[in-house]
Amino acid sequence: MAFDIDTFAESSTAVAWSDIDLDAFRENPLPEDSLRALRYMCDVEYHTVCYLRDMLVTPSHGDGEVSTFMTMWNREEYWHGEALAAVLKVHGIEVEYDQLKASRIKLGWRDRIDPIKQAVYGNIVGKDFVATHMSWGSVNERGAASAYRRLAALEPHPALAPLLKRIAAQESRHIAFYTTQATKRLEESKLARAFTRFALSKVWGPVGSTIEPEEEVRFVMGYLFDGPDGLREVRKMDEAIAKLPGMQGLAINEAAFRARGLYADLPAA
Amino acid sequence: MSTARFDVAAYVRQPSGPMRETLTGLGAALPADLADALRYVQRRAQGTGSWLARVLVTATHKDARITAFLSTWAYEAHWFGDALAALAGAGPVPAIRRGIAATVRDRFGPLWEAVVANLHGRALTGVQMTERLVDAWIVDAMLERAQHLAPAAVAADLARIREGIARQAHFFAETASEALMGSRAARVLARRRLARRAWPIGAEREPVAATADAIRTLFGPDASWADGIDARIDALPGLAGLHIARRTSRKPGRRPVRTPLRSVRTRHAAPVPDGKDEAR
Ligand SMILES: [Fe+2]
Ligand SMILES: [Fe+2]
Repeated sequence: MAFDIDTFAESSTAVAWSDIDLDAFRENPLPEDSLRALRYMCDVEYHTVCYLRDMLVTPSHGDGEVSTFMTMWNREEYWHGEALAAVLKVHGIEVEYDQLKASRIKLGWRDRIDPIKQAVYGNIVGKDFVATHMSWGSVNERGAASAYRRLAALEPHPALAPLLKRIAAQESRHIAFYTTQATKRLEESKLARAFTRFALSKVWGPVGSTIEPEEEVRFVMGYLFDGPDGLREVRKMDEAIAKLPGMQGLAINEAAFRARGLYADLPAA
Repeated sequence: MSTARFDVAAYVRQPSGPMRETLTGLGAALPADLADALRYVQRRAQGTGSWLARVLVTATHKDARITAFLSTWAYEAHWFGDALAALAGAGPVPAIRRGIAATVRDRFGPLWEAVVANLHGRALTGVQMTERLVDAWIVDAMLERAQHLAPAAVAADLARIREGIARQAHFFAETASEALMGSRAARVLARRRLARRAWPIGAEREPVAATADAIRTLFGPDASWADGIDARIDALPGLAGLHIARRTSRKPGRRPVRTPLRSVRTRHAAPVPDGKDEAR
């Protein structure tokens, strides 16, 4: 699948929600579980800048196409956060700059060490590390898109589902970019394939698991993906990941979710 | 501090986006050297990644207000660059500076910065905001000169870009002044770092000749443009006497051989031991 960066950039917009009647939530508020999931998603979106940073310290930013994408992508994700924050706000949950600041400070030493670690990997593994980042991005965008679609299906509130579908549509464009980049870069280098396979199977965790308490990760993953329908969705993601060059046989999402106690009564593939 | 705080929420909501459709000077013939100079400014606008890499490894990334601003600022810069590329047309792009020093700086700069950032903490945020303020002044001066040298239709487009840069500069001016005013460490560090780097930001990634050509094309032998900028830098808390713009006009594209002596007029900045924050 070809990805045209100019078309992407020119059509990159902040997700809109002014036409969606958020006041509908006042009469008909979302249940607590869905709000908890939204809060998690909102945090993840707002933390995109940390992921952007990890990206920029690798040798990838010299690439014009990648840096144009990153610029647009980072802003789109920021607006995903804003949109979800607007929904939360109607429910009396405030996600303000200052609170976010507090949560990034909470990340503590890990947040201090991470950029150093990323830069070290990036410069030791060099250009091949970009392939890993692109693959990682592809996996995470896929996770985000299907989380939004699952929540839209589980919680078909007339005001929520349309917003989540708009966000998911942007996530799909992100998937396309990362997957195109990852495929090309993995094809080109054996080291890239080996390093990426190692990183995905040994280091990767579900979106948000590096910034949220484990309790929240378990809750949200269980809420969105438990049961046979959830597992079917998760396997779809894993199949797509396994199609990346050198990633055959990986089932990282299913493994991560089983490790968190999901699908105990469902047979492994 | 200042009463009317820059409204980040309003700014991020209405950024300046793609401009190609509305450019009036598209297709107007430009002198080759002016087109080169515009492409030089374009590369600065579309090369924000290197600077952001160094910024986001520091405590600045924890400041959600600043990162919200920077996300939109980078977006705008991309489209300003795109407009400049459209106006200037295709042309030769000098290779990114290659030498060992440049490669090491580019690869290990953010890494070293991440390590050093843990020593300096929030003082660095003030330095970064000041850097961007000074850069906005320099780039604005370049575009102002380009306006005079270009046909009217192109000049009108450049004026719009300058308006956008001026709006961004409001944010940098406010955050920089607050930070410099509030922290001696920020003032000391800003003096040192501003004096040491090449200008405009990103010049360190270009061959020296590319910066020199752009400056010569736009300003000619007259260095008076630099005095205006230096006067504005002098007026920032603790930054008097750096003569950054004058140095840029005399030796474009080069970092100074050594840090200039601290001006006796600086009352804000106390002497600091040398060599503690070499962050390059
Ligand atoms: Fe998103
Ligand atoms: Fe995304």
